[in-house]
Amino acid sequence: MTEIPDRLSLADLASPQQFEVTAFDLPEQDVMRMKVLGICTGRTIRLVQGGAPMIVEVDGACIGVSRRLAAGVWVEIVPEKQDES
Amino acid sequence: MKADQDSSENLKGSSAAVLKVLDLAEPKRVALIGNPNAGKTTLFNSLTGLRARTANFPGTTVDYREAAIEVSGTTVSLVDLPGAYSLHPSSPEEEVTADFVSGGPADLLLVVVDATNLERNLLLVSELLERELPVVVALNMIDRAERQGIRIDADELGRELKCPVVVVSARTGNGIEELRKMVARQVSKGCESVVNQDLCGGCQGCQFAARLDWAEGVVRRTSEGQGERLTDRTRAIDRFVTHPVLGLVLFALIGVVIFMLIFWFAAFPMDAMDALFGWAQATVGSLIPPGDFNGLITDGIIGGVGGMLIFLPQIMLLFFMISLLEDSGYLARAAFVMDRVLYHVGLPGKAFVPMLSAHACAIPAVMASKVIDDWRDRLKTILILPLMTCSARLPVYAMVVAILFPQQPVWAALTFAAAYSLGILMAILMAFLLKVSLLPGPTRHLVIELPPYRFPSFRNALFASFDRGKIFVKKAGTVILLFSITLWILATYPKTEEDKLVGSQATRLAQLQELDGRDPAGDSDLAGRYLATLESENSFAGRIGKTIQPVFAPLGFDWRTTVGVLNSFAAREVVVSTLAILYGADEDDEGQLTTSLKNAKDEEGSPVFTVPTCLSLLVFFVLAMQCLPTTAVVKRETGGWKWPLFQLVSMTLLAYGMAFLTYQLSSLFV
Repeated sequence: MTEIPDRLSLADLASPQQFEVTAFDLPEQDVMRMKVLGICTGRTIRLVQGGAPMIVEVDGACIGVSRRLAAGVWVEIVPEKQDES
Repeated sequence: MKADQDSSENLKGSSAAVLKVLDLAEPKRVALIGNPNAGKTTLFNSLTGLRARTANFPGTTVDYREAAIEVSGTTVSLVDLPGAYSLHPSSPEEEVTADFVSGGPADLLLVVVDATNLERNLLLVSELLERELPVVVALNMIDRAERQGIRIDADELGRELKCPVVVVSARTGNGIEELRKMVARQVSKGCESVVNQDLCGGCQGCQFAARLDWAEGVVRRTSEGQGERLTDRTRAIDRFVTHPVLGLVLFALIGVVIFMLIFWFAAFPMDAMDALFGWAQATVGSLIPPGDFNGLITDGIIGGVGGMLIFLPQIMLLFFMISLLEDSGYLARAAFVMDRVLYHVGLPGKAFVPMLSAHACAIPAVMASKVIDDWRDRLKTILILPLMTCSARLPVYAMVVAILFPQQPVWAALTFAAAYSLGILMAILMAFLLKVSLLPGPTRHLVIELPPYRFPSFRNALFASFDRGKIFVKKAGTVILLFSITLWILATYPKTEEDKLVGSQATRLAQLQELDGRDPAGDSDLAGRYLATLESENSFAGRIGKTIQPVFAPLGFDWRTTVGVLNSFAAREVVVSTLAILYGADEDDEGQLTTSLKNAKDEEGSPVFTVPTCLSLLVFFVLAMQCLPTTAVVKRETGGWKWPLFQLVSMTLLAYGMAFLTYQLSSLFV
C-alpha cells in the first residue's frame, strides 16, 4: 500500500501542476531569497519542470530552485486555474 | 579567518562608504535602481554613453558606475546601483544597493521597471515608495511589452504609485528625452519625497506576499494583457536548454566556443600587442643611451607592464561573451544546469563561468567571479581558480614534455592531459578542504530567475568589456609596475663587469669570444650568452636562488632551476627564458633549449633534468601560484591582502608537497 506523506514538499512534485506554499522549513536567509522572487505563502505558483533543480512559474517569471531547497518548501496542490486573461 | 566575518568586514561601513561617495560629488545625485534583467544597464548606457567611470564603493569590493550627465541644462551625477529584487539583500551587491538607499545619498531614485513583468518589479518599487523616497519610475521595454499585447496606462500607474512614470525603451532610445526632462524637473524642484499609502496593508504574515498582492491589484487596474508572459516558445527552449543531459551538451558546446575565443582568437591581438611592446622596447631602447636607465625603461617598465597588458584581449573578450550570454538569458540557464554538477564539490552553478575562463587565464576568471552571489562561494571559487591550467603554463609544459618525450607525441599528449586533469582534481579537492575548514557552511542552494530569452545587446557587451579592461589596466597595472621594477632590480644588480672577471671565468669568456670571432656569418654569440649566465648567477636573484637551493633540493631542483622557479613567481613562463639564460641556450630555438637542458650537468657531473626532476618540475608548475597579475587582481576582488597571500602560500606549499612526493616516489622506480 502506498504511503501518503503527511505533508507534501515542493520536491515531491514531479509533473506540471499548481500549488500554494503553506510553510517553509528552511534557514531564514533561504526563505528570504525565495520570498523576494515571489515564492511566498498563500500565492499560487506553478511547477513547470520537476527534477533537480526544478523550475517554477511565479507571476509569469521562471524561477530555478534547487531540489534540496524545494524539499524544505511545504505545499498544497490547488486546482489548475483557467486562463483568466 | 571566517568568510562571514570577511563578508561583513567587506560590507561594514558601506553606509558610511556611500555617504563618502556623496561627499565627493557637487551635482545632484540620481541613483539608477531596479531588478536584475529590467534593462537598467542598457538605460544607463543610453543616458551616459562612454562617459561612465567604474569604481568600488569605498570599503567594499562592489563596483559601481557613475557619470555626470546633462539633463535639460542641469548637470546631475547618475549612479548605476547593482541590481536588486528587494531591499532585503542576499548578496554583497544587493547589500550595497540597500545601504545606498538607506544611507540617503541620492537626491532622486530612478527606478527601472520591466513593462513585460510589471507585477514582480513593483515589489521593489513598493519598498522604495514606503520609505518615502523621491522616486521616478522608468517604465522600460515598453516596445517589447506592446509586441506581447500588453498595454499599460502610464498616467494611471503614476496616480496609483503617486510618483512620476515615464515610458521608455532604453534599447531603441524612445522616451529617453522625456525621461531626461522628468529627471531634471524632479531634481530641480528639490525632489519632494513621495508621501505614500500603506502599501502592504500592515504586512501581517508574509510582507512579500502582501506586496505582491498589492502589485497584482495595481497591474489589474492599470494594464491589460499581463496574464500570459511565459510563452510556449520559452517553455520549449527551456525543455532543451535545461535538460539534464542535453543541457550539459549545449553547455559544453558553448564552453568550447568561449574557450576557443579566449584561448585561440585572443592570441591574434595578444601577438600583436606582444609585437608592439617588442617594437616599443627596441625603439625606446635605441633612443636612450645604453646602461642601467635603458634597462630599467625597456626591460623593467615596458617589459613588465607589457607582460601584464598582454592579457587585456582575453579579459575584454571574456566579458564581452559573458555580457552577451547574460543578456540572452542563457547565463542563468547554464548556472541552473551546472548547479547539479558543481554542488557536489561545494561550488555554486555560477562558478562555471570563472572556472571555464581560468583555463585560458586566471585574471579574467577572478574578475568574472562576481557572477556568484554568495560571498563565501565567490571567495572559495577565487581561491581555486589559479589551479586550472592557464595559457602561461603551456610553455613550461611544452619544455618539460620535450625533454621527457621527444618524438613521442602520444606520451606528450597524455602528459599534457594529465597536467590539466591534476589542476582540476586539485581544485576540486581544495574547494572541498576550504568548505570543511576555513570557509565552513553549506553551499548556497540555487534560487535563480530564468529571464526571458532576448536578443543580446552588442552595445552593452562592448561597454562591459571596455569597463572591465579599464579596471584591469588601472588597478592591476599600478601593482605590476611596482613589482616589475623590483624584480628588474633583483635580476640586474649587482652588475657583472666583463673586464673584472678573473680566473676560469675570464679564460672561458676569452675562449668563447675567440670562437664567436671564427663564425663566418658573425651570428654566433656564445660569449654574450655566457656573460648573461654569469650576470644572472651573480645578481641578487641568482644569489637568493643559490642560498635557498637546499630547500628545493628534495624536489630535484639545482640552483639554476631554483632561480627559474623564483623568477617565475612574477609570471610562470619566465622560467623558460631564465633556464635558457642560465644554461646558455637560445630561448627561441626550442630544439637547442631542450638539448641544452637534457645535457645539463650539476657540479658533480650528474644530469640535472632526470625523469623524476622533470615530473617534479611539471607538478610544481601545475599547482604553484606564480602570477603577480593574478595576485593583484585577487587583492582587488577580495578587498585586501589576506586572501591573496593565503592563496600564494597555500598553493606554493601544495605545489612543494606534491612535487616532493612526485620526485621521491618516481626516484624509486626510474
